[in-house]
Amino acid sequence: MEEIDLEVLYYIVPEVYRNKLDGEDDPNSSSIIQSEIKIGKYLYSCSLEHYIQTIMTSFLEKYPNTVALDVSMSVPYYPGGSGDNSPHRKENDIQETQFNYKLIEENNEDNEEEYLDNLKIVFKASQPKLFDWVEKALDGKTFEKSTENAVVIYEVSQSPILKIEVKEKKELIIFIDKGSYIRYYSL
Amino acid sequence: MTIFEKIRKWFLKAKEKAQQALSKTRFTQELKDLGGIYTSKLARVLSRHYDDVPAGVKTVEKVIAEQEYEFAAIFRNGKLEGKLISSGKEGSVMFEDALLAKMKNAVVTHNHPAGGSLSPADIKLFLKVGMKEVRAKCPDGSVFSLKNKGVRLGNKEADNIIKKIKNELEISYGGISDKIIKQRFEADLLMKELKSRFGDKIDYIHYK
Repeated sequence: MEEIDLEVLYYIVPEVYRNKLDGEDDPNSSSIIQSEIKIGKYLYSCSLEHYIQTIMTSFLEKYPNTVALDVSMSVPYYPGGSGDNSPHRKENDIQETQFNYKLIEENNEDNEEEYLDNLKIVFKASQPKLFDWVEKALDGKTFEKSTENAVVIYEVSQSPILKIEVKEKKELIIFIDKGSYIRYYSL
Repeated sequence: MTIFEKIRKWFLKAKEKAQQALSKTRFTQELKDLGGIYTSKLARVLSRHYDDVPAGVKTVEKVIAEQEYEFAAIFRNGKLEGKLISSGKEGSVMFEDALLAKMKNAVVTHNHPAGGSLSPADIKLFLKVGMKEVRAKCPDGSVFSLKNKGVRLGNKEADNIIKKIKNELEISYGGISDKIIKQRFEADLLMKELKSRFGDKIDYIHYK
């Protein structure tokens, strides 16, 4: 697999550039965005196997900046891109992606911070090697594999990934541990 | 303290004041040279008589408009929440995380000592915390106002809009090194995106 640097997905905006009216941007802003665009371009053109593995890798050890990941996966980086938030893939092999967020604290108006509960990826066609790709991405992690109602479940230990569900080799859902959430702030 | 020390102290203070004044003049001149930067044409112009913000907001704005540093005030149900907030800077006011919850559904006003329309940071904070209105009072007495008329955004959805615009800005205008011009583009891109997504539920007005 071609190496793609994901470090930028863990960049926390310094306090002085966070909650403000007026003022200058984080001086690292431009290089951060360029690195995110690089990830986006990679995700647009890489093989489906690498696409899945890159996304899974970004969650494997540390909760990433999911907004940066989402935008990297959906902003069009090629001429004539539509500009909507649908997944962009050269091979047009993804039906949809859903970043499903939940409130960290229910019924607390003073804290409406959300964490990514799960990321759902639906393929246009069944992917016969999907289990291999998932297991390869989990390499080095302890996991248990089981099957329930035709859904294959991987329960992962010591990772922000709680579990992964694969349905009919056409749908992959990555469930995230709320406790791993990190607030990154926006640039 | 000897007379020599007193003179030296007075001189250093006077020098510091002169440097501050020079810095302000340069900053203002830079803005003027750039053709009235931040005076976005995307704001619709209305007479200030149509500005129906509570009287308390207007009173505070009269006071802060004359300050050389930026001050902000949070109003909930027409009443000032806490005190005026300043970071002692001409071009920015920063807030602790704890204050953000108080800004939700609130009217947040501040002054722009150098004038001009809402900055990208103003628009981003408006989105992130879910303000009812963000306002900027200019030295000429005019006010820029961005109002939310019924849009409900999750904080990650707001972050997503902000990030998307930032990426598009980098792709389209990445070669522009001038920070001020880049900020103008970013503010206008954000406003266009909000208009395109939410239409009349977002209102951007320049009360003159």
